[in-house]
Amino acid sequence: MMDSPSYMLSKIAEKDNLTVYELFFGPNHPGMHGNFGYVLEMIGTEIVKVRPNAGHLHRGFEKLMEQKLWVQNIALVPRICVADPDPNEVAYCTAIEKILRVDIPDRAKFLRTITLEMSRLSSFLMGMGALAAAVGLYTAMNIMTADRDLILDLFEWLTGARVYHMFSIPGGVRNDLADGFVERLYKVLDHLEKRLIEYDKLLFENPIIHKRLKGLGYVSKEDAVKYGLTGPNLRASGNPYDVRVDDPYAAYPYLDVRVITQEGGDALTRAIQIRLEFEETINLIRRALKTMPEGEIRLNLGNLSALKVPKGEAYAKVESSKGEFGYYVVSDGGMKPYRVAVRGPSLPAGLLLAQKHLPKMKIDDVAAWMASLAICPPDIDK
Amino acid sequence: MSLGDKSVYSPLTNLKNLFKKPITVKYPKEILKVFPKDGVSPIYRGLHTNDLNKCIGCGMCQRICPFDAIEMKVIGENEQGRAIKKPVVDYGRCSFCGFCVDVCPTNSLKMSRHYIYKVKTVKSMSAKEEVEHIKQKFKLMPDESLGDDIGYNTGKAKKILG
Amino acid sequence: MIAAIRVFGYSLFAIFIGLLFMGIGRKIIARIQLRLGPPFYQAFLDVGKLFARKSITHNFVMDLGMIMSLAGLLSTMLFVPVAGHMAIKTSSNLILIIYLMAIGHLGMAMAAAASGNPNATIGVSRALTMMLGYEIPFFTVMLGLIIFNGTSSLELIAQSQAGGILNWNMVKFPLGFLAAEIALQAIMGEKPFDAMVAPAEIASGPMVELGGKYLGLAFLTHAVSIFVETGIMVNLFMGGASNVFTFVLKQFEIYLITILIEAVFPRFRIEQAVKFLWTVPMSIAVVQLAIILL
Repeated sequence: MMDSPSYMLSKIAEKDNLTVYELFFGPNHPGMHGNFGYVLEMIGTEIVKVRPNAGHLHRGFEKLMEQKLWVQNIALVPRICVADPDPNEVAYCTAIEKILRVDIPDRAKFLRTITLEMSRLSSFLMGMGALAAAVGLYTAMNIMTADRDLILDLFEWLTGARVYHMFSIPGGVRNDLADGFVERLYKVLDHLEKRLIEYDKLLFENPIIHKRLKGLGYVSKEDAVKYGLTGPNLRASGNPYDVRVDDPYAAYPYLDVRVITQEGGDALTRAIQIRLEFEETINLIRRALKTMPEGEIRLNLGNLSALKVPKGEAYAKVESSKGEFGYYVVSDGGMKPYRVAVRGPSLPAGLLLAQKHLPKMKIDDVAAWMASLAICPPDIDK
Repeated sequence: MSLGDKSVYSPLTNLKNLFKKPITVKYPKEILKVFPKDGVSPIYRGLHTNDLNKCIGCGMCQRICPFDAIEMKVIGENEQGRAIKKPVVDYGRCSFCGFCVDVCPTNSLKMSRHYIYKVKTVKSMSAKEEVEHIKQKFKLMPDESLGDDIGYNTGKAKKILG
Repeated sequence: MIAAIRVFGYSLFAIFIGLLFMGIGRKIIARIQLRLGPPFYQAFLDVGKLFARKSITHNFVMDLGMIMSLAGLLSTMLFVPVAGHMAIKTSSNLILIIYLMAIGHLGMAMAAAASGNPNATIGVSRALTMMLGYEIPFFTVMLGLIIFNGTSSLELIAQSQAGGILNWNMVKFPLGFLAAEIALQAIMGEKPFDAMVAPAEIASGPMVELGGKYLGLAFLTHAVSIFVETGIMVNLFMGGASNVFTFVLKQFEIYLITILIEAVFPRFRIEQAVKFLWTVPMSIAVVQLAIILL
């Protein structure tokens, strides 16, 4: 707007050479999640230029993976996405299995699918909570965190750890379901379905949420493909693409996954997309539990600590809650990977789309924009 | 209801939470009962525990450890004059992945359901000394045992790695 | 001498009630969020801890601004009749009260601007913009009451409502009460009008550079502002009170409404907030004013 007061003020400031100042939005900022930041060049409260400030995660995942045994990397890969760690394990293991040309037992596939979908639920809860917190609705965030804890309890029972499960290994999974686990999972799913009504009332019917998020960070159907968005962000722009359907892995070929698409492409649509997929995920877990076969949970690949993967390369991709996680694994036939390249879902949105969206945006909306695109900084820094 | 409707009254319905029981508890005084056993999950990957009678000191755990947290310490000599080695776990490095438990050939190394490790600080120490002190103490020494409460363990029948 | 002791005593009382309300408010919000929450005396512990800390200042202006904001609100408090009692015998003029209240914000603005942090500066500019937003509807409601009662003395307005709940302005002028209640939400800086603090956007705005004793002073300022603002509302709309206990209880009712709204609504952007305040409560207030005048 040419005649808006902020524009006129900025023009006055420009005359006095007081134009642009730098504001560090992260890594030490309540609106930023993870070790990442934007250096915003601003006039008044309006952003004119943005410089992503990555590199605070001093781990170097890809390089580090070349120095560890095949199986040791299982302890490393989940750390690429804290909120949604399982897709990393499954993608890495699937890539190894592709090079080894083995087919894992059906029950292992279903167990992997169930952990993936549970991880998706917990990540969606965290994502919705982060979005609510970004616009100041801490009640939703607190209740969602409490509900996420129920899923983490189940993970603890199934895998022995709450956040980094390290559950998939090349050839299968590490544990079978405990007694009483399935009943408990059903109970938690019922509880979440009931809670969903409350979330609707608190978050998705809230008029101020609509006011804040409508039209924020609009991505058109073509732009979503051009910038390489994946997952819910892509489907919220009207592109029916889902790795679970288009290139199925684990047990998804046996399950009927419904792809939800919406037109709209703004932050509100993306929030509602997460909400709809949350409901669908609950149903998917129920279907997977019903059709899960009995049998072995692991393929015997010999001593895994001395596992040698034959020469070759493979790309495995997994649909995570934030988008597509891809692992490109190259083996030279040795004890360690020759090269592992990770494709993270946050990189296109966090680095490329930020260049397009953040300029001309007000400082008010940066946190909500980040939360609506589910940007998870560790996979920018891998 | 279709998503996308908005209403000022909908958020206000959440005020009924005021009359519900809170989810959180006063932690040290009361604990939530979540699992069939009290405390953490039955297969929790907590602090290690090593059955020294079974441990043969083979060093497999040291070899598999992704984070180089296990070190084989010589604790004595046997009759033939060869060193007896036992694993020492450094919890400053350990990521609790449990691969050392999976790989143990005699199932002597297990993980307990304990997850709180207390180190008493000595007030007379300087900051630098204290760091060194905690570095030394923050390890599971072979003579320590937490064997009363076994969490993650593979058992003979369920060998995972190897 | 006696006047000085009275002023001191009234200040302590206001701070005590404000901190108590803050603690209870946190507890209530926690229960809405399904948490157990901190004990109701947590605000006292916080202030005690903060004043025990070493703290850093940027310059003299920052110190002055913090003191000025607390002193401005405390002096406002002296003009608010508490159940008929006042620290100093004055006419308790409403217009004077409202203009003294602005000193609190201006002091905070000075302190924040002196700290030199852009987040704090944005926060303060938002706080002052928000002031423009809420003062117009609130003043319109007050104008109606002043015209109706023929006086701008808060004490006389409170006295004129004596004799039962039906005489309260809250019942006589429900539209005015509604408009004032919405404006009060902004005056207290609670959601949906808390754009000046907004942790996720500008890292708590004016508070970003405060630590230790300075944050403690900001806490005290907030406590006094709660006391003053709820006190004005009680006198204007709930007929004052015959004794201090009822007065505090009525204040708490006003604060409770604010807290309940705060718990379930997110925040407006600053321009949305001002636009909302200039349309919705403003039009309600104008309708009320028209009803009083006709």
